[in-house]
Amino acid sequence: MAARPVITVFDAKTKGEVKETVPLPAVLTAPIRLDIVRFVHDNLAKNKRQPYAVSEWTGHQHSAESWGTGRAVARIPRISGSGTGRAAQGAFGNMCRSGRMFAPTKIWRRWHRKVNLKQKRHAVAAAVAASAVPALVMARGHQIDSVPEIPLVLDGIEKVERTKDLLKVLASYGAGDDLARAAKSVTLRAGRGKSRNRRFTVRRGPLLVYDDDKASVLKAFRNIPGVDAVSVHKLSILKLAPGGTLGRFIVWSAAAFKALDHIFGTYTQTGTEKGGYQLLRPVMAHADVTAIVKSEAVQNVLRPIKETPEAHDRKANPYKNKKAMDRLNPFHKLKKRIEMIKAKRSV
Amino acid sequence: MAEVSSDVLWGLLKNNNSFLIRKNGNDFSTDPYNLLNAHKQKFAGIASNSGVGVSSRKKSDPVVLRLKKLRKNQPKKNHHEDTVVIKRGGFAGPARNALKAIVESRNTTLAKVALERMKKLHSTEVPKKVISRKH
Repeated sequence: MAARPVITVFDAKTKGEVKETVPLPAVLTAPIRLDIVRFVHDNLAKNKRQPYAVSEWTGHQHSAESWGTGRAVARIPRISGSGTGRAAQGAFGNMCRSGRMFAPTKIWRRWHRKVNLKQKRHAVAAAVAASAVPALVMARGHQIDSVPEIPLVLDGIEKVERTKDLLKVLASYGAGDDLARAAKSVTLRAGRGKSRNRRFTVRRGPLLVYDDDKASVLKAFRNIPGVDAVSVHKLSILKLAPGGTLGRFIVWSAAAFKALDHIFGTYTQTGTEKGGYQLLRPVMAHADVTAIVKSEAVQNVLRPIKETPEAHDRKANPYKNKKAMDRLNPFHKLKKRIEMIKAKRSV
Repeated sequence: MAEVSSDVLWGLLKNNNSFLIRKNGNDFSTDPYNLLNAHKQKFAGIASNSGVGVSSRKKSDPVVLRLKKLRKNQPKKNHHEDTVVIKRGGFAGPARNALKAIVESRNTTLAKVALERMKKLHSTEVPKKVISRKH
């Protein structure tokens, strides 16, 4: 890319006021690799799981023994003892009433997944790049019709202290629609999660990306439904592509946005913060196939269009189609006529 | 804001996007830039770098025809909006002219489809009443 396109940084306090312009960080041009993002997301999403299992001894807290053969009963272990209905009932098996389940779940199941660092970084880069494409953000479901520019970079957003001030800032930069969408979406969760401390579900709204860990905005965003905040130094694919879907609506703080080149590096320099990380190069420099085909360089080398061969008529069956028969056997007509006359005469 | 080619965009969006509706084996799209509401690359305005949409923005608005042209990374400026309230008895002039502009600048097939869509929307209008779009 010759000259890097430039992104406007707006002033958070004053609606629409342009603070400065920043050249596009290289991460935002990283190839958008849905396959990597999906893979990394699916695996990292497993890392917050808490183990579940049945109790170790469930179903086995009996001194049951099989009666063996010769007693006209199935060989399943049976409850020892007498004097109660429970005695002699089958025990231990998964098919038995009050028996242990088949393959009792164990806590040492492999709950978590390790993902290679490079893959994780590629995924984050791809997700960040995708967030800079308005079509993808819209297609993910965010309402960004009124947002002046994507990516949205606000200077001074980190200093916002009060929730209502943050709401004002976001609304003045077109994020209000997306916030409304999230707020409207708060519903009771379907299913048992309701009673397991996961009572409500909400849509994901804008993601605030900040630089300073002690920014006051970190308390301001907490009570706004759907809004998350993430440090630019700790970007997570789980927040950038929730559900594995690319294109989260991101509101960058100016400091965070400017730090991107330092963190991820560029195509001429490896990342500093992500030590030695090199952004993936796209497989095709110009991925617009239509444009390539239409380009002079290609058109000049193409052979001229072949003339479409003359389509010939569908074959007509001479036994059914008189014209076809006449064409092939002119005598047939005469022959038929003679027969017809003969038949008339003999009547 | 790097310009992502429409082929790449379609590749990303064809299996999964918020506008996609799958019913009875058919794929529809509620993409505002989609003229046929068909989930096909040809009509998927959202996946193209220049798209035309004919729709009304909100359900509660009167049926209003807007023409949108997608423009790169500035969603707000995306809408080259021709707000045309449907009047009884035919297209309002600006709508026709706006469509003419489309014909001149781009794909003729799309312009025909856009015109058809406008006609259909227009014909559903009940005069004097303000109705909300049911789509």
